[in-house]
Amino acid sequence: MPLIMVFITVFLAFIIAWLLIREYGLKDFVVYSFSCLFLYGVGFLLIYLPSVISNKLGLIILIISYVISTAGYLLVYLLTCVILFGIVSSIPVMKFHKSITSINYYSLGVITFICILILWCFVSYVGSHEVSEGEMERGLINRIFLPSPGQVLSEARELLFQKEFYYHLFVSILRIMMGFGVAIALAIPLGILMGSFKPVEALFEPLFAFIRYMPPTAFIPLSIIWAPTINSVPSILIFIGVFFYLLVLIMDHVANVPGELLETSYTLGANKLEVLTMVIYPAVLPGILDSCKAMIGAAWTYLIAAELVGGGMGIGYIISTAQRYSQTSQVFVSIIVIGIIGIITNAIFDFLYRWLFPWKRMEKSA
Amino acid sequence: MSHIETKLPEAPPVKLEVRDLCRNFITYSGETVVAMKGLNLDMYDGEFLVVLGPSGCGKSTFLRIVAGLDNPTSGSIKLDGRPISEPGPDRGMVFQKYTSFPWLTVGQNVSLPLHIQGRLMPYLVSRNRIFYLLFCTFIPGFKERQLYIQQKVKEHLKDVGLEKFENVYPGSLSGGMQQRVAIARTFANSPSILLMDEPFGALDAQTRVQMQELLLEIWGKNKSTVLFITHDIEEAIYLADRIAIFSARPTSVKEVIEVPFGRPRSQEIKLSEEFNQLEINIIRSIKDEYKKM
Repeated sequence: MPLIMVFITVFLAFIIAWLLIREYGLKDFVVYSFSCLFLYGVGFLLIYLPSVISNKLGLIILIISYVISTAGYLLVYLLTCVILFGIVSSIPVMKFHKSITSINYYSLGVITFICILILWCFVSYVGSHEVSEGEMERGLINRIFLPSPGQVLSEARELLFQKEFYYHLFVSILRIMMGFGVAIALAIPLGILMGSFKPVEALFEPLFAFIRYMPPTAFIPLSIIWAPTINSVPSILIFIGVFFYLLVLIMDHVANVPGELLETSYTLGANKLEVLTMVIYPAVLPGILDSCKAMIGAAWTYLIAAELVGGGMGIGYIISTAQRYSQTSQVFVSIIVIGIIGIITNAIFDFLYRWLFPWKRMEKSA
Repeated sequence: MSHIETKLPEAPPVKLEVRDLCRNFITYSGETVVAMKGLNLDMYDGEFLVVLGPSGCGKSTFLRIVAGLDNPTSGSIKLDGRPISEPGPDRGMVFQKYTSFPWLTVGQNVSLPLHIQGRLMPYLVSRNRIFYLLFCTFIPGFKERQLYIQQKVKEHLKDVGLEKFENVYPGSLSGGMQQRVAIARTFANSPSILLMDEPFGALDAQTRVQMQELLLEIWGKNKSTVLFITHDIEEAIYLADRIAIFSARPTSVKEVIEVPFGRPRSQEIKLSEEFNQLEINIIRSIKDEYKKM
């Protein structure tokens, strides 16, 4: 099966190479295909070496196909094949739920990123389209809809060296911390009490269920009216959007605390306060951290939604002004920055989880 | 000639007194099911009493009522002459499921009841170095108490053979070890009576035998009273001073059997003729109850 795929790949590569030479000329093609090869080499190293190195025949076939491909692979096609080939050839090695080394894990993740990047390069730099009458531009898609990687890169260079951008970023992060912090600080004690004692649940749950079904974004106009300054609108919206959901999640975690643990602590002589602080609280803490990790994504959503409507500051404000002036690449940069912050937040939460709950790791390994 | 009183050998003082215990359940369809009716049982001080009975007969419910985790419909239970209404540290309980707190190390698990006796926000103290130092400085006698607790924990862990695992989280221990933690923790609380609800039910046969020997050893050392529930007849005879056989629903005590073996016991008694005869009698007795169900 992999052998057939290699043949098909090589065959198609020749056709595509021929088409490319016809369109761009030999010199451009050589430069292009060598840059492609470099990326291919990276992909090859990342995806193949770990999974196929044990299989000598597979390795030889690959190296041969690698050499043949110097005749001119089209990058997108090739990498797609590499990945398909990699997955197909690793099917016998894959096992359900079997863990892989972290190097393999992250290199596969990087591969996906690289693929998207390459696809983006492809639609931006290959072929040409008509912008207006008689005016041609490289790429398959109009730059207004999808800026090229180069454009985004130069925009990023411009934006990321401005103090103002970091000011807006700082304001946004501060708003998240305010709204999210207040939501957590209220939701943890209330959620634990509601999950532990039915009367408390009966007191609040009907009201909160009612509020939960209202979309938080519907509160934007209301919070603009209510808020003392326009600045606090995003924080209020984040609170509304996060608090009620967090409460349900925490209640659920409390309900999942094993009854035996509670009964044991009673028979050890603990009173109600001690059961709450010594058993329920530590038992639900990992779950709460997990829920926070999930909810902080929602917090960003509500932040941007509120800042787009009005706030005068923050990342959402940058996005809305960029959109007003059709600066798509600026929108792109802002969104990517948010994504990077998201990845960092994720890493922080993962670190906290491992640092605070070493016993959870033990449980998994047992 | 003066009158010579023939005095019967005096029975040891009654530890646990159960009188006319009834428990009704109400099903979803509104019917009242009488699960337990007129249950009477006396337990003596320092005794090892095992409860046997057909499965589903309400052994566990009985134990939970004694522990205070469940309420009887009527009847009375007195421990050391005082009526029982809610769970308390005087009745330590070991469950079939593993109940060590996974976020505490083995040592912290065992020290927990001792901290609770001290009533000084034990969780904070056992986890937080700053609180520990503050309390040591400002509360007289605090440090001595902590050192005493540490020493106690070491002793109890040594009793169950886990002294090397003091700083290990229970999640990485085997089932038998986890139950040992639970037993050590319960004994650390020095309860007036120990309630065990099929504690070795989830363990494999080899570990179970080991645990039985261990339990008898600790029991002999601590001189405590044990109320033990099991469905394993061999285990019951090996462990018990007396065996109470429960009837099918509505539950009451069908008969109480004295186990004639002395202490300390070895596993070899399981091979004796007497042991086998006792086992057969008990099996017959329980079989009769199954027929009534």
